[in-house]
Amino acid sequence: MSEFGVYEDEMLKRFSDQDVELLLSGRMPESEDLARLAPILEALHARRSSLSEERVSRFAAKAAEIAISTRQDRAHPAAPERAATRPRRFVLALRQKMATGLAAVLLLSGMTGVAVASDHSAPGDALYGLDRALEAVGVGDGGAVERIAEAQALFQSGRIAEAIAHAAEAVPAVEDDGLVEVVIDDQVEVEGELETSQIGSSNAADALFAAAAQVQNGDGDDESELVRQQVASMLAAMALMMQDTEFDGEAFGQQVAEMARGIGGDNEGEPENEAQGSADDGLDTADEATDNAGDGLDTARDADDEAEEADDAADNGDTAEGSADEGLDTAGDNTEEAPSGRP
Amino acid sequence: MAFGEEAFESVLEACKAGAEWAWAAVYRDLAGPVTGYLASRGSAEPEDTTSEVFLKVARNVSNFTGDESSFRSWVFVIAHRTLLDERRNRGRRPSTAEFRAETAAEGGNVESEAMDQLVTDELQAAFDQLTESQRDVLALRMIAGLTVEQTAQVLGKREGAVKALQRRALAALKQIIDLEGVTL
Repeated sequence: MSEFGVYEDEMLKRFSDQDVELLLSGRMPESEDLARLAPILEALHARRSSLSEERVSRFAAKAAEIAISTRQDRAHPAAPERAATRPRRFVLALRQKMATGLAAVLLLSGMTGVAVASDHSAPGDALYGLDRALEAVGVGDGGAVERIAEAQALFQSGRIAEAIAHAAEAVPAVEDDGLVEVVIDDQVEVEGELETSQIGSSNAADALFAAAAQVQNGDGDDESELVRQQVASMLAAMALMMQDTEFDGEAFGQQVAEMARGIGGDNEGEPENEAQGSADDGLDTADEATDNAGDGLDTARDADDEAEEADDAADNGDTAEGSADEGLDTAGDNTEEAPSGRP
Repeated sequence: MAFGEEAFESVLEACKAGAEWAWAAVYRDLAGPVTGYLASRGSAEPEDTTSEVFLKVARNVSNFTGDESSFRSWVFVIAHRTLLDERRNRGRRPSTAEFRAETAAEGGNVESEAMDQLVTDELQAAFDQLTESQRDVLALRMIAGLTVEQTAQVLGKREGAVKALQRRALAALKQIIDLEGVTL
């Protein structure tokens, strides 16, 4: 190990989490070594920019306008232009799945009032099955956006594995001509070419179902909390991607697949209860982490970082398993509206 | 954050309803840290990117549910992703030059500017030697003012990983100061 590496590790041993937290909270740590870093952190803290009131007012007016506009859009949604003329591919797949029970359900329902009531039902509700059956013939179909909203409702009620499996239904099933239609903002449809994305989409669905199975079989509170955060991030990212006016089906499939594959895996190679022992104990594991860390990471520095985290993880006997936050990071590709869409 | 839970609920509802006072309060509270975070992480136009971030917040606030802490995390999740998008669009990594140029462009007293620039240069020299993840964590903790939990949410990491990264970052900074003669 180089002189620098040895020195850094020596410092690492002297820094307790409690002392580090004191310093990062703007208080004086007990360690003199840490206290010497106070000026550099103060300089970093001072990077917060000040704002002019004129800028604040300008933004507030624009934001208020946008918020009001969004509310009005929600209250009076425009009819989708293509909804009546072209069925969605993934709805076609759903129709096939539900064809068996559909006739009986339609016979039992028969009233539009029931259709309206069931359209707002969520998984677990008595009317939910009817809601799905009616959607299968194009009545009250909320499409992928509704699937994600339902997945989020399932997640909120603690049914995480079901939420993941439900999210899989939002992944467009591209089976014939390579086109996918996705509902955005509950009302507008965009259509995107999916040449290689057929693979990406089915991979995404497969990865989601695999993640659901893994979560179903998971154990341990610590693991559950990690999974909960990962699933929350993934569902939020899926919802945001669908709102993107430049929705890219291929990127969507790939990113969802990546996020799904990350669920339940300790990608950080870092235990919650970090050991304070010698980092050298874990060198072998750190090397293994370095070997595995190149998966999707941008730079060698990040890969080094994975190894660093794994170094600590090894103190507790954990094994680092490769890339870290690429799921969430790559989810940022299409998470938001195009900047040019609005002033 | 400045509001307190009960006040925050009112502010959030008012934001959703389109009240300018509420948006001004949110912007005053968060825009400075967001701009600072973006600047420190290599945004070429941190103020423009901040505007982009907050317009996204305005467009999506109707879907947000949660407390004040969650809201702060949510805003920085958007900031972080917007920054990643900006980097991808530029097709390159954040550079030191951009950070310095952004700093130099700020107005103020010439002498204090010179002192600030010295500190900034030293800070940046030390900061540049950290890994990307370590820089993310320190910027989110010190500039954005996030907790370990919030930082973990923004970066999609576990809290233990964030704690390890910040310890590593500080150990690396100490090494830089002691062995490379960086003074602050």
